[in-house]
Amino acid sequence: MTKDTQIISDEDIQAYIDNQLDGTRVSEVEKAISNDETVLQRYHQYLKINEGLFELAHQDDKGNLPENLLRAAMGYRRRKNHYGRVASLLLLGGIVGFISGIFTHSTQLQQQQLADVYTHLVQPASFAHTVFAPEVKHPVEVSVEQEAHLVAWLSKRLKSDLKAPHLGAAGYALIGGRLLPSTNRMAAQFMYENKHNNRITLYIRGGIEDNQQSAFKYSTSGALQILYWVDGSKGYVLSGELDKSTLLQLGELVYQQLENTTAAKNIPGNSKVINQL
Amino acid sequence: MEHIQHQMISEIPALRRYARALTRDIDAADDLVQDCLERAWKRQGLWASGSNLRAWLFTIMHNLYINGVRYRARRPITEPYNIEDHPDGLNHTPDIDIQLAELENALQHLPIEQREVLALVAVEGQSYKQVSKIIDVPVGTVMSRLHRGREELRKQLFSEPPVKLRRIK
Repeated sequence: MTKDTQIISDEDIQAYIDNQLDGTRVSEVEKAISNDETVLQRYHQYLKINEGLFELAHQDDKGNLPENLLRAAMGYRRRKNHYGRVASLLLLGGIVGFISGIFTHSTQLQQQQLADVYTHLVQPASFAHTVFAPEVKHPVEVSVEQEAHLVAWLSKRLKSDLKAPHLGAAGYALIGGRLLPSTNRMAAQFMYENKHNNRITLYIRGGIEDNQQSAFKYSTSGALQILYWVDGSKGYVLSGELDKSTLLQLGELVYQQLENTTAAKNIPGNSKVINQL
Repeated sequence: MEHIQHQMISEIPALRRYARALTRDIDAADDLVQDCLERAWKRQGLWASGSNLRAWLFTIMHNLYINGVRYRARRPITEPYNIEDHPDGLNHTPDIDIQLAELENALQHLPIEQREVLALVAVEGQSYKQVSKIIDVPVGTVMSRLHRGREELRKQLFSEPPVKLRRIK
């Protein structure tokens, strides 16, 4: 065998960065990185390039997803040209439309609701999380020392009885909250932190409709894990960079505590989780 | 049904990134994403539920791009990266000491084949094997494109001032 440093090629260093090497090769490359200045320098350069590529690709990620892409993702076909649509409507609309309309109405309603939940709830909530959770100086507007005031104030502004759930059972302590403008309403954000300074947010707003009341649903946005549900006309979104099982546990804690404040009959699909990947 | 809708929605950001890497054009990229999603719904039956949805969508997108001329840039991203437009980029990444503008510029000059594998591996974290399936070339080809692309970027970005890095006593 030749010396380690001689058998480490640029391809090996790249594959190491890309996480594509098996165990033995990994330790050989790591050894070379710590022993050989040239390998170390190459390694740093490739790493910087990767970070830069990642940064460049993600710089346009923020902001809302275009409506047409959301619709396409939900299985809608692109709108055909207007005249064609009118003509076909005239031809078929009278008879077929009447019959099929009865059947498709519920599906369309459901799809529309799904789009609305996404646009008015999930997207603004996850965006608000990415804006405020990393804040060093002003993560919250009103801190937990004034918890009673915070809850009363947000309740008043949202015109709804809010409650800041306590998530200590899952290791997360409330640090405060803030009032936020959402798409067409106001929203409240409560922020929690665990002992490793990992932060999660609970986003609440009204005016959300969903026939599938209380089903937990998952979504993701980059590294962000999102759990959301609709109860009554209120939408709830828990966001954080954490594993799904902890997120679900937190969701259940929130749900249980809020449930105590609302009508007890409103507990249908509590255990129903629509899992996503 | 709703389950798949949610999964599809959550893949939109990754699809847009990959589409931009391919087209280098904001509008053409979103067209490509839309076509890709529509094609995916049409062929939904071909997707084995539980398998890697993202890789499957990437495959569809790659094929659409390769076979279609309509995604060729109409409004190419050629404006130089303006650091003042991205104040966050300055604050949040003090440890990235390469200039993103330089990198973006260097990236523009890479052949599409190399940009594509860089996007799939370095940005989307796909394995070499997965990429080989997505773009339908042998793993060895994936690796050599990746290597050539990254080497080119490295030369462009780090060729002049290696002095400050050389601290051998």
